[in-house]
Amino acid sequence: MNVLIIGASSAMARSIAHQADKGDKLILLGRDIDDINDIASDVSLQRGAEVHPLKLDMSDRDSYQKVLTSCLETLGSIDSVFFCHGVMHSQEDAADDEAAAALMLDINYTATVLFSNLILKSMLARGEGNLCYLSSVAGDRGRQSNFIYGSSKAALNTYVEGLQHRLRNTGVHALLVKPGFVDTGMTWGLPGLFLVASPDKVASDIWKAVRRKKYIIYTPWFWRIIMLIIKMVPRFIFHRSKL
Amino acid sequence: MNSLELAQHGWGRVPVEVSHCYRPEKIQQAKSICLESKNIIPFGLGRSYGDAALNLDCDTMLTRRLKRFLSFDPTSGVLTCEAGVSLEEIINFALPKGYFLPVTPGTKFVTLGGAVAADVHGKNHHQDGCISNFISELELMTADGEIMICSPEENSEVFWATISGMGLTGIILRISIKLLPIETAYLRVTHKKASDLDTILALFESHADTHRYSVAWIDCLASGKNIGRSVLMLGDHAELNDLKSQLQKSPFKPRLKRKKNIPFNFPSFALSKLSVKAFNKLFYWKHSESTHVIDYDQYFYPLDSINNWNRMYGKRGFIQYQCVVPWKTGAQAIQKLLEKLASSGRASFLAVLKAFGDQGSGLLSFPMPGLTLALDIPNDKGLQEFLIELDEIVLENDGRLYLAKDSFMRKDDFSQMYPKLPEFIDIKNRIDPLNKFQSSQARRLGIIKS
Repeated sequence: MNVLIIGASSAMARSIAHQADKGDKLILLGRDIDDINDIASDVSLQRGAEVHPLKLDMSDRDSYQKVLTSCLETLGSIDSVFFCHGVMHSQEDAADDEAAAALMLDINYTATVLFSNLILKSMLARGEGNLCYLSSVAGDRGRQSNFIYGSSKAALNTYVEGLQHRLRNTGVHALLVKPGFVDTGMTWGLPGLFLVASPDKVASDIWKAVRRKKYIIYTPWFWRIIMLIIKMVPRFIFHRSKL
Repeated sequence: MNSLELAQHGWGRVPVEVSHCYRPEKIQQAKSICLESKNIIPFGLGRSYGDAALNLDCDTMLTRRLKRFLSFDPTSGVLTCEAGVSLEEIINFALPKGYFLPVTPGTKFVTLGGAVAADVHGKNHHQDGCISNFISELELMTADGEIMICSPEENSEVFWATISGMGLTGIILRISIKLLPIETAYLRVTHKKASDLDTILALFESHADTHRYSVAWIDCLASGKNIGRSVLMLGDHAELNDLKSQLQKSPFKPRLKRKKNIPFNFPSFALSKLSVKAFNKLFYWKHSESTHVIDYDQYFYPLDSINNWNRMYGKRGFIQYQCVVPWKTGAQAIQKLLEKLASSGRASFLAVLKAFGDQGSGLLSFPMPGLTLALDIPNDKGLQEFLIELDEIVLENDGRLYLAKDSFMRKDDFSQMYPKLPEFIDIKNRIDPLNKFQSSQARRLGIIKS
């Protein structure tokens, strides 16, 4: 399988890359190219896959087409794309710091949509391919403690939902992944975490869902129930909570 | 970078100390942590027994997210990987390619970085020395956040201070290690029984050249003329034709035993003098003098098959006391130590005796030519005073204690045991003048003046 992983130096992306096998071809994309190089060596040594590191800064929109062309040259065709890039600033930082909020919204939502639109063209032309978007349970209901980040993911959810509709009968498939708390650098040291899952567990859930052409998964699975309850709580009670 | 306040302990479960834990996932993050922190120590898998990787009320850097394999040369066997890689991960990677660790301690659940920082030895020390003999190069992140490449040729002073330096010279980022080519994942093991100390010492001497690995399990509750009663376990990597024909088909894929787990702390009477005495008798009589072929896991890592075996000692925790005494008076010293232990009423479930080879070049490296004894002792009342009595025997005989196991050694004893300490402190002061890299152990032992 020919795979692109965007935002490849995040812990979750690393675990996704580590599910590759001999015969797979991967391109790992990210900003910190030294780090991406190390991950590429690691995955190719441990998994026997062919891995190419490539620099991509999601905040540099002008570079998208060039990067994508170079990916297509390297791989020939692209079977699966994992959108793992993301920025999370705390609610306070995002509320007070305009640049931080703008960057977070831009990287999590705008950049994903624009890059995704470009890839779609080649996938639709070929009539096959998988797109996998890492969203978050934070996008399911706005909470006072994390709603600027959450809204960037909610916007992404709507995009993917519409995309799935658009892709009906095209052979191209889109998966929306909503992880709960995952033990990564993004969550390390944050207060109020519970039921924290390992990145490896989440990565294996994601691959399974890609193979089974699922539309939306929560990972670990019980977050579907937790979020269902959170969404059902009436507003007058919800607003009294500290969530 | 965010940090998490965690109560950490070593494998002995005493002491427990709270520190601010950082966990970088990239070198860049390690760098910013190094620059921000005023007082930090790397923490890998927490398998040193005492406070070597603890840093009370200060910072620790958890290194387990920096564990990437970077290159491997299948002809020379040189592997380069990040320091957070565990020995288990190295075995899983290298074994199918026909390579094994050139030196391994009694557990594979340590990071390579920790193994280098403690300059660990294995059952083959008498032939191959410490792990540092196989390290060709390492990358060290120093206090200024810069990366220094160290090898026996380049920055050699810092190299030999970092080897055995217990993380006090900086954060080891990557390590190149030359692995050992092997034909199978099995070992040919011979057991020999010794009824007393003289017999086991004679056995060590006569088998020094004949076997790559040797270690003796010793019954530390035997007394009188039985003192030193032991079983010597000699081993060599099995060749292909040592294996039964069905194993020869896949010599690198042993069917390892399933892991057991100790899910909770045992009550403290579980490991008492009585139960250990019974176990030791059984162990001694059960082992017959024989040769057989077993997989590497059973030979090198018998305790790794039980997860959380440290919980057997219960909530009180335990310490491991490991000392080495030079040959000159080694036999008498070991005799005295065993007598002292037997008369104290304390039970050591695990007691291991081994002959060491030459001293390595690591400035704080533990092994020296002589005999090493390792005892697991429950943390019961009066332990510290008892250990001081043992320390005195070790000191009288010009021996020393192992930093990776230590939790109670006294400052003055330490400087007497490690004559190259001033040299180490000189180098540390040069590359880390503000003492950014500190641990509770380093402060206790006066490596860092507090």
